[in-house]
Amino acid sequence: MKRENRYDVIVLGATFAAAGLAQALGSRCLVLEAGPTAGTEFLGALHFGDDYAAPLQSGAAKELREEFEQRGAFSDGRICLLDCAAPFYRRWQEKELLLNTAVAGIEKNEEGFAVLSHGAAGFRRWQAACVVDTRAAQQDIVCKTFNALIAGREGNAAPPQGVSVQRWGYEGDWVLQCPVAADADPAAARAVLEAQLEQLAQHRLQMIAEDFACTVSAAGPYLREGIVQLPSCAYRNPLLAFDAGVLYGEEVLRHAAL
Amino acid sequence: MLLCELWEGCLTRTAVKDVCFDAQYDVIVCGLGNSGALAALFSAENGLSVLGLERLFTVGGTTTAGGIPTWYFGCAGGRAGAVEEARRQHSRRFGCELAESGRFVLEQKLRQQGVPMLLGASVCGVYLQRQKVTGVRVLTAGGIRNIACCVLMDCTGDGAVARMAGCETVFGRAWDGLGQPYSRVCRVRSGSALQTVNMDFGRVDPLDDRALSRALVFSCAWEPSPLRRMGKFVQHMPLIGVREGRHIVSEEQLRLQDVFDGNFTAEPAFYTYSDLDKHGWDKCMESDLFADWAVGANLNAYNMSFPVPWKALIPKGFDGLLVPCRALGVDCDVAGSVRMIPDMNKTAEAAADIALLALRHGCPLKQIPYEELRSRLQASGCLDKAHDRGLWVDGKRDYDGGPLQVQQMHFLTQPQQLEERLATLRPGLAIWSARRMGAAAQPTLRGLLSSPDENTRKHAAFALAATGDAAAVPLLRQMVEQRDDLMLRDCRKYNQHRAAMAMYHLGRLADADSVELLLGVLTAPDEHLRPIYQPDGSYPWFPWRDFRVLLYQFFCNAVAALVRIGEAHPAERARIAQGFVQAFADGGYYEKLTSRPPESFEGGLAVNLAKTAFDAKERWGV
Repeated sequence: MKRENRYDVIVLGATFAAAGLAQALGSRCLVLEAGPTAGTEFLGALHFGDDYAAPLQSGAAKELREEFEQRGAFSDGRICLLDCAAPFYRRWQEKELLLNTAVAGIEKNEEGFAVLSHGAAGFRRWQAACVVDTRAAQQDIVCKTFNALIAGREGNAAPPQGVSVQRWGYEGDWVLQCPVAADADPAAARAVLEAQLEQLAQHRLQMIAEDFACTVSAAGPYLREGIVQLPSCAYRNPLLAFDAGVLYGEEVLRHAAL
Repeated sequence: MLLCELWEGCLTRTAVKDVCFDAQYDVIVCGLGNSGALAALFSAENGLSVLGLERLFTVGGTTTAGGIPTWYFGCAGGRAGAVEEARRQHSRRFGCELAESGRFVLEQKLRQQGVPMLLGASVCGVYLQRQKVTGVRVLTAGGIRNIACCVLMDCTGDGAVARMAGCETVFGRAWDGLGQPYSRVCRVRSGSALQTVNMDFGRVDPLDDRALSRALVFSCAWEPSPLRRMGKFVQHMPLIGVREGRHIVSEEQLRLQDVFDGNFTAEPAFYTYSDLDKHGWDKCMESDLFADWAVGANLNAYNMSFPVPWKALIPKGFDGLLVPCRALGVDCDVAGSVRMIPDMNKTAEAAADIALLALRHGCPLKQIPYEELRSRLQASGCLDKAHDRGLWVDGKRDYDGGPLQVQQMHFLTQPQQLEERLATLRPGLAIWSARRMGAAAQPTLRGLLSSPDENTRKHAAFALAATGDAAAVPLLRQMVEQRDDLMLRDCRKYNQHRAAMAMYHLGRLADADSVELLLGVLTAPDEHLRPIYQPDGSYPWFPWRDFRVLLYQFFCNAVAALVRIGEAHPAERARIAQGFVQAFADGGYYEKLTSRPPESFEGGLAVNLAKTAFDAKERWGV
């Protein structure tokens, strides 16, 4: 195997937790993401999180929080992360990240793990001592919603009735949270969402999520079949997920130094 | 049977036997973007069994996840009209953008037709029996599946599956192998409404996973000031707009030269209608033919129609495979005008009918009876002679921001017709007409070189140069020496300045005596301090102060002209190469052009200047 295909850590999913790991580990880790974007568990899912008063431990997470604050993420007691995408993506610059790259297989071997990925250049083989999965595993999902931004028609600022909504950055605008089955696929979820929208005559659809907002049964890190599980969506907000990634990355570095 | 795969960017073919297919379909569509979703829908409506595969978790591609649901050129017609109307109705009903409606409507239509969709699935292998595609290997969340088909449709937009199958593909322009700049659409909130903003970025090969990932990250991380001014940022649309990926080499290839020569296919699937829509200020680095049109005659934004052969959807030498998307068989020059949404809708319809006829007649795709295909496409309005509109100035606004005078244009056929048009600031039609007339126009044009009217004189020089007559050289040099910054007005965008056009023609005439003059543009220490280059925000298409459009145009045309001269005159190469080193080696030129990063659209243009120069130097071995 070529030297450039070897990493200390391979991270699955370009989540906020993965960004934290990449921040701590730098070129020692490779992040593989099946989709074309990062941070979809929060940004793409229109899942803005809560508990932003919870303390952050790493300097990197505190810096990210400051940038979020400067962009008005927490103005007027309303959480809105949408304008925070650029500072988040800047954390990915100069990192080893392959977007549009799905994992085709993982096998344990003497050196750790052999990972097979598939992307625009076809299959690639990677070798790593450790694999960290920051995605939500299907069997761990306890709650899953498909979200959309909706707004009141003709200045209507009242929340819609009979559905689950959350306020976000603008008066009269809401995040509609549409519960779906844990195994629902996006097409099925869109059909459920549309049925809900049919009931909301006083509101119009602005945009729909690119990913599901999931709650999982346990936060990481823990091991499953030798793979470290650090699901990003297990954290109350993306800053905590990022922080957890940084901390785990630093722990890996300490372990490697030993 | 052969299994074709890509490993680390390289094609592999492995002999396999006793492959166990999970399922069998008449048609498998890879990529459920707009054309893919429609190809699947129309195939199902044709009574075929269809499976749709999509890498993303949504259908509609550029028209949904890419945030570009509407179209401005091409002609409506064909079966896609009903789907577009359903999108509009859905949009009105839910008060949302067409991009959002597309996701719902396309999925509903596919479900209603019983088309199973595997979202989040990518094709990782293609099965071939001799040169006929017989199935695919698909990577899904549940593992790898083998699925058989009679016809595979590659609607990935980049010819990714066709390339995997081993079909010959081409990418980028001959000059430097680059494709068009990609774009990223952002949603911003302006007032109480969401609106989309389309921004151009650099150039990327969509099949280079590392480069593509870097580009995707950059386009989300960088926040140019115009974007911040347009409203509160809301979302990066997940899919970037790749204007140009790979194109297949097809059973019948559409080439710009044939379009200009009037050598049209006898078997069209539809008529396309657009300008040769290439983005970027470096059109002098396109092929000679394209650059003669866009730079030499300043006709970049003229619209034209022409027929697209149905066999442009069939990769050459293959059966069981169709490519109904922007990766169809066209050359790089003409590709920009065969990618509009209505055209892609029509490729989908044509592919569905080709598949149906091949299955009905039990024949290879390329042997279907064209008369039957034509009859079907005409009946639906997909193929309509009325769409063959000819040459037009079309669009909404002219260069100066006023309403555009939409009008049909006709090439001039007599030399005596040229003068009137050459006297205007829209001489392009006359320049190109002179090029078509060739030697017959030269006596008239030589006479006009001494016209007392400056416009007539200078534009006659362009026209004469376009015919290959070196008698134009003194006037061309004079325009360069004067740094004639008058911009012509033939087009609604990407108009050329006269000195840039003069440099271009000097290059095309390979005028070795202009080397010093052209090098002077690149190397004079105070060149960038001339008042004409100071950004004043007055250029409507580039109002930003962090990119000097005019200076870039002059630099770019000077480099391209010098490269062309060096290619024609080996004795000049050392002198030119030395000038390139002086101009570009210390990198200082970049800051003179732009303060934007190298990965940006403008930065990419600037970086490529030096690359072009040093590539020539290396090629020449001096």
